[in-house]
Formats: sequence, structure tokens, C-alpha cells
Amino acid sequence: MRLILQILCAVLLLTSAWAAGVSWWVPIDVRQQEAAAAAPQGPYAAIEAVGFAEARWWLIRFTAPLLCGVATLALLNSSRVAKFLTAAIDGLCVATQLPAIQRWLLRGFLGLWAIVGLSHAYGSVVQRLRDWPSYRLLSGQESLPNISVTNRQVIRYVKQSTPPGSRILVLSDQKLFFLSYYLQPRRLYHPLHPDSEFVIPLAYGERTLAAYTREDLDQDFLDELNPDYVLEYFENKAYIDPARVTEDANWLTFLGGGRMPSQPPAIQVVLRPHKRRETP
Amino acid sequence: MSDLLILCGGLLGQWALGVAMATLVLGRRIWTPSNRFHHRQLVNRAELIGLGFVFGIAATSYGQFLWSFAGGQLGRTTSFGFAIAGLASGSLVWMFCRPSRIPSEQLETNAPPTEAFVSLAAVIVCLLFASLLLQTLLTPQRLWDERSIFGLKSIVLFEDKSLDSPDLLHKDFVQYHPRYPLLIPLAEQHIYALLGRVDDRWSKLVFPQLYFGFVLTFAGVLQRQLGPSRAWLWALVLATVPVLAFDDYGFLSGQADAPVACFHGLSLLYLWDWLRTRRRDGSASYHSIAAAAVAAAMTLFTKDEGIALFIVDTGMLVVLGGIGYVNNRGDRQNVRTSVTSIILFVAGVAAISSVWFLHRRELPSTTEMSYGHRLTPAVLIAGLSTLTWAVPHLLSRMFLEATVLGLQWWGMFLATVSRFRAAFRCEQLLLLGDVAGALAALLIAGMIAPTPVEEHLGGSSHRFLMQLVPVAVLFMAGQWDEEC
Repeated sequence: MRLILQILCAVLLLTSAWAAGVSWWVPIDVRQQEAAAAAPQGPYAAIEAVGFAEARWWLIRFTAPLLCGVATLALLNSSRVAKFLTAAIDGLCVATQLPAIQRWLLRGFLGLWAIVGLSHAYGSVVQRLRDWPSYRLLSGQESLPNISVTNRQVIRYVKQSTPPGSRILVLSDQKLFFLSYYLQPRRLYHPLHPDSEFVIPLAYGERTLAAYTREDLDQDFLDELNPDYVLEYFENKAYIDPARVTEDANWLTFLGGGRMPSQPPAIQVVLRPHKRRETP
Repeated sequence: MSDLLILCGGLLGQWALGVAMATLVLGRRIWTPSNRFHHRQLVNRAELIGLGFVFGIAATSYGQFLWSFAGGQLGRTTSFGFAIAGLASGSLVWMFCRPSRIPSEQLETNAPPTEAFVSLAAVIVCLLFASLLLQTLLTPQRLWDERSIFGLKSIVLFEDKSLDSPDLLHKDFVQYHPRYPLLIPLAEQHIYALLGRVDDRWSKLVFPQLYFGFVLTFAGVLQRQLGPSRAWLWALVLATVPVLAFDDYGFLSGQADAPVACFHGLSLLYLWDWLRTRRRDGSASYHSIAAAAVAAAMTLFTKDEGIALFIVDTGMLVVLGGIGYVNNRGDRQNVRTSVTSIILFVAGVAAISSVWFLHRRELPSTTEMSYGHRLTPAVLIAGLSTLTWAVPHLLSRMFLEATVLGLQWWGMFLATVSRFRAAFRCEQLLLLGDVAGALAALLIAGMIAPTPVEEHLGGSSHRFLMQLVPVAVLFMAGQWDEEC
């Protein structure tokens, strides 16, 4: 056991020392440029590849010296470590001590379990490296993760156009939970169409939700709710009024990055302050 | 930086509150080292330390729920108050209950293998916890349920400082499942209150703590029953279930399924502990039943599946009581013990949960499936055809997706087949009945839900199965023990 341990530790020491040296010697920019050059075609592929390379390089920069230290300590104390590991293996044998066939069944099962567990542990680390370009150390409120592009646009538009604490009535054919989550402390109200209550929407408009439009609203309902704003947000062609898609000039300016876009938007977003009905 | 220090202090107070709660429920025996072979406190007092995390989060959430229900305001002052109360109560119980350190010469001598393996397992569990913490802080909340159900409510509770927020009570306010229980939203709100701001990475710290506490408690209880090496072996198995520890829907997320696995797992663990002790020793203290009841109530306070799981477990206790009555030829003491345990379990859950159900009546029912109202013979008969899809789907999830979701169901099957007689022990029957009953409840939910079963069960079965994983691991531990 001691000899095997020494060999393994020596290999680990050499590998990790080399990895530590290279990772701190080579600038991250170099790795990022290599990753960008090798990235496949696609709107976000280069960004993801660069971010992944950056995360992986920093991971190596920190774990390689750590492994180097661990390998060194293990080599210097190889007899104690070998004794400990031998004792631990004996302890595992004690823990799995059963009549003959059951013992090997259990040990085989645990061996498979270890393989599956290790592969998943590795997979979760790789997934974190892949997530780094998207999330970094940002909260969800800053990164707006895992939502559609249109949702993200609407959230950012409403955030810049309404003060915090606004009460916003939303008429929409979309599920609005993420808007409600990210627009806090603004409060969103959405009268749910009964035909949509238990419908799960599908991507790319394959299944859409029934929705109320402005014409369906009762004035008494509006007066009782008394929102600060009314937002009409539709993505389904059945609800989009082509004549109203360009109604909200602020939305168009937002989409165009400060200028009017050259083409009309594909979705209908109209945000208006709500005027309470004047009592006679 | 000061916010983070306050947060750390608050979490320490929360843990201390959990230790005090554990002492209240389980008595002074929880301070007795469950491993007399080991010097290190983490192993010696795994159960106490673990329950500190789990009961701490539960007590803080539930305590703040009661506080707000009674008209108190949530927020930083309240969260500080809970932290300080936790530190005070934890210090008190430590002063009165801690046993003196066992002198080295009195520690039972055991073969070194046990200590070495236990130490290695404990170190691996700690490393997994550290990894979970780091990954949690690297990922914001990004899944459907964690944002639309729990995260949304936690932010509203933080901003409005009250359960009776007009928006949480408004039928048109955009939130998913308005009637869902509030343990997670309140736990996340507590972190926002300590931090002073909303940052949905930090609020996810609740979940790694539950993971660590759960695994430690599992190890601690099993140490009493199976010995240290087997206990830590199965704790390690539990700690490395892919769907709990490494999957994005497990303890790495703000979804409720992993916490349900934790609380429900603990409830079954303590019922199993009680039944096994009673079977082997002839009698058992009711403290374990009390702990099971608290954990079951917290399952109910986490997600509505807790209601079904509670009904299943109560049913199993009644069935086991009946089997015991028949086997012992109507022994009165036996009957009395069984009836007392069932009453204690049911009364404990009912007493704790009653206030939540009182409050729940005020909440809007938009998007709620209302399974109770749909459970009629006509709807059940109409939904029978869903079983032709649902049963093969569940079996596929459990056995054909094992490399993704874990090998625990295969392990449960192998453990049953290889030690068939052991499966008829009362504590093992409890676990089998729990799994069978829970799966039946899931199938019935698929039969009566207003959405197509392929979407309803198809999108949620892996998460529901996650809730039963600890039961499967405990079952394997009980089957593959030294007892023939």
C-alpha cells in the first residue's frame, strides 16, 4: 500500500506542479483567445467558450497548487497515510460484512454507486464552469437567468420606465411569474383567463394561453384595482394587433437602443399610466 | 462586509436555536455521544449538530410564521431577535446538558479500522457540503418553481414584512400556487432580512444547510442502531445520491423537493428508529415519535405533498399496530404502546400544522389543483386510463434512468430480494409501505389533475421520487445490517 501511495502521490505532485506552473505562467487572455478562435458558430458560442476557458483556467490555478500541497504532505507522511488508508479500507470491509453472496452484492452495488456518484460530481463541476459566463457572481436580479429574450426585454423596459413600488396591471398571453419575480418591488396583477389556469405553455408558440385584452376589462375592475400602469404584452399572433405594435414610442426607442428600430417589433408591448375614471 | 458578518451571526443563532429545539424534543439523551469510539465532535454528536441545522431552519421559519400570524412584523429586528434567542437558548441547553468529555481511557477500544473509515467518511461529507456551498453561491435562482412559487413569496414577505401582505392575499397578484406552504419563503426571507437586501444566491444558503444537517442526523441516528462504520457508510451513500447532491433540482436549487426529502426522511428515520428499538429492546422512548411528528409537520409546512405523506405514514403506523396486535395475541401493553404512538404522532403534526391551515384558508386558490375536491369516484374512474402511461413512466424513471437519478431503487430491490425475511421487520415494512403509498398517491394525483398526465407527471415525477430517496437509502441500511 505504501509503495502504491508513494507512486500515486509522486505522479500527482508532478502533474499538479506542472499544471500550477503553466496556469500561473500563461495569461488567461491567451486561453480566452484560443477558446474564442475554436468556438463554433453561433450568437453566444464565442462568449460561452471564452467564459468557460476563463473559469477552467482559474479553477486550475487554485486547485493545482492545492493538490500539489496535498501530494507533498502525503509523500512526506506516506507511512501514516498508508496506515490510515489501509485502516479505512478495513473499516469499509467491516461495514459491508455480510454472508458471502450478499457481501459481494453489496460491495458491487457500492462500487457502481461510487462510479455514478463520481461522474455526477464531475458533471456538476463542469456545469458550474459552463454557467460562469452567464451567472458569474451576479444575483438573479442582475443576470436575469433562464428566461426568454422577450421576457428579458420587457423586464428591462418596465424597470427603466416605472418607479419601484408601482402597481402594474398586465394583460398578456404569457406566464408572468418571472416578470413578477424580477420586477419586485413593483407588483404585477394579471387577471387569469379561466382557460389558461392549468395550461402549461410550450416554447416557440406551440401552445399559447388564452388571455384577456383591454376590451374585456370591466371599468369597475380597473377602478377597484387602481393600478399605476397598464401593460399590454402579447406574443401570440392571435392577440397581436399589427396597428398597435408601434403604439408605444418609448418601447420602440428602448428596443432600438435609443433610436427607432428599422423594423416593427415581433411582439406587442404597450405600457401606459392608468388614468383613474373621474367621478362626476 | 458587515452584512455578511450579520448574516453569519444570524445563521449561527439559527443553528443554536435548532440545538435547543432538538434538546426540547429528544431530551438530554441527544447530548450523549452516539459514537463512543471517536474523539471528534462532528462524529460524536452528529445527530445533535445535524438537527441544529434542520430544526434551526424549521424553528426560525415556523416561529416567524407564528409571530406574523399573531400580528408581529417580520424584518431585520425580528430576525435579529430570533438569532439572539437562538444563541441564548442554545447556550442555556449547553450549560445544563453537556456531558463532560469522556476521558480517553474510558473510550471504548475498538479496532482502528472503524475510526479511520468513519473519519474518512466524515471528511468526505464535509467536503461535499463545502462544494455545495460554493456551487450555491455561484448560481442564482433560475428554475421555475424556485422563483415563481417560493422566491416570489420570500421577496414579498421581505418587503411587506407580513404574512398578511395585501398582495399575497390578492387573487390577481402574479404568483404561482398562492396556497403553497411557507417554510421556504420564510427561511429565505430570514436571510434577506439579515442581509438587508434581496440577493437570490444568498437565500439559497438554506438548502446546503439542510443537506448537511440531514446527512449528519442520518449518521447520528444510525450510529445508535447499526454501529459507527455502517452508519457512516450509509450516510455517505445518502450524501452522494446524484439527484440530491449534484443535480440542479436537488439541494443546489431553491426548489422544495430536496427539503421535503430532508424533513420526510427525518420523520421516517425517527419512526424507524422507534420501531426498531421497540422490536429489539421491548420498549422505546416516545421522544423519537415526537421528533418524527415535528419533522412530518415541517414536511407539511414545506410542500403540499407532505399531507399525502403524513396520511400514508399514519396509515402504516395503524397497519403495523394491527399486525403487532395479531402477532402478540392482543397483548395489552403492546396495544397501548401502539395506540399511544399513533396518537402522539397525529396529535403532534395536527397541533403544529393547525395554525398554518387556519392561515391558508385566507389565501387565494388561483392555479391550485385542489386535489381534495377532485377526489371523487367519478373522477377516479375517468382517470384510470392514465395509469397505462403513468405506471410504465414511473418504473422507467426509477429503474431505467438510474445513472441519472441514482441507483437507490435498484438498491432497494436488491436489498429486498437478497434479504427477503428482513423486509418483514416492522421498521422495514414501514419504509416499504411509505414508498408504496407515496407512489400510489402520485398515480392518483395524475388521475385527477386537470392537466394531461404526460405533462403533469412527466414534468414532476423525478422531483417527487427525489422526496422518497432517503427512505430507499434507510431501507437498504436496515436490510443490509448485521442482524440476520
